[in-house]
Amino acid sequence: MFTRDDELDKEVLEVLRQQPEKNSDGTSWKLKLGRKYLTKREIIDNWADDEKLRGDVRKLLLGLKLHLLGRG
Amino acid sequence: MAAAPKFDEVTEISLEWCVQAMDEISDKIDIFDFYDREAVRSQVLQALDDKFPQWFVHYDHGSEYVMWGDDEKPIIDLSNLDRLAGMHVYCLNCLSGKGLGAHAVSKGVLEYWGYVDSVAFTTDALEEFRDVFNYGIVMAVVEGKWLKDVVEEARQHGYDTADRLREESKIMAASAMVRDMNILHVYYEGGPEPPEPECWFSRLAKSLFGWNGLWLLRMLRQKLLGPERARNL
Repeated sequence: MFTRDDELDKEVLEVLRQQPEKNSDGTSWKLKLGRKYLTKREIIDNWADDEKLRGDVRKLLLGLKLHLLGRG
Repeated sequence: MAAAPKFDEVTEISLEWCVQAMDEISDKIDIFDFYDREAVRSQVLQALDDKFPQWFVHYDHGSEYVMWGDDEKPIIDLSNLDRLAGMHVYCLNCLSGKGLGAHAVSKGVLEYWGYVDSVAFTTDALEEFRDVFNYGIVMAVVEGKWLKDVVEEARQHGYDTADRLREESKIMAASAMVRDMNILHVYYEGGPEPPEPECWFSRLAKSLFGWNGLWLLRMLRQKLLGPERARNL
């Protein structure tokens, strides 16, 4: 049911890769999380070096997975 | 009374959301806002003295013990939290639900709607986030209820919205929405006790002196060290 961090990392990166870089109105897609307000490119570029960012984004996706488990 | 400072990209968005929320309830209550004046500590405190609002709304960056203003200095912090006594407080800011919220009821605040961690959103679902973040204040004022009486409906609305976003393959947006709903808390007299402090010293101080004793220690720390500077929405 629960995946290891590296497996979750792969899953998160896959979700991020599938995330369009542009919104439907042509503006850049951004994620506001904590003090950060980042584009898809900035998240992917910082992924390897920014442990906090990895942990925060990982937690986001894990939260959704747990929510879906709770929904049955 | 609505304070929604604007000094960066994120607060431009939160200001828009606040304006929309106030528009939706303006036929129910008189709104005093700071859209055309600086939402800074002195102005906000003066307005609190002059207007005696029933509701205090803050959309902007927050941190555990601070609601930040246009000048990037605290509007409300531990030292003046009691100025909100007798009011319903509704915050869309990061973390203030954790620190200020925990002390709010003991300072006479009727109820405090806040987030106990960093708020997240994505720009591909700004309408949905606006709708969910505004839901509580709009529902409470329009229906004449307390925030504590609408929080679970608001949370469910957020989860339902997250499910719709997921079905639209907006996975990051859905994830952020679920997180926001998970960290939403309302404190009120007679409600559940705030979570125990994480720090052992704070737990000890709280068990010895109660929430007001812990507030005093934290306020002294704030006076000595300055308000924490982490600016999260």
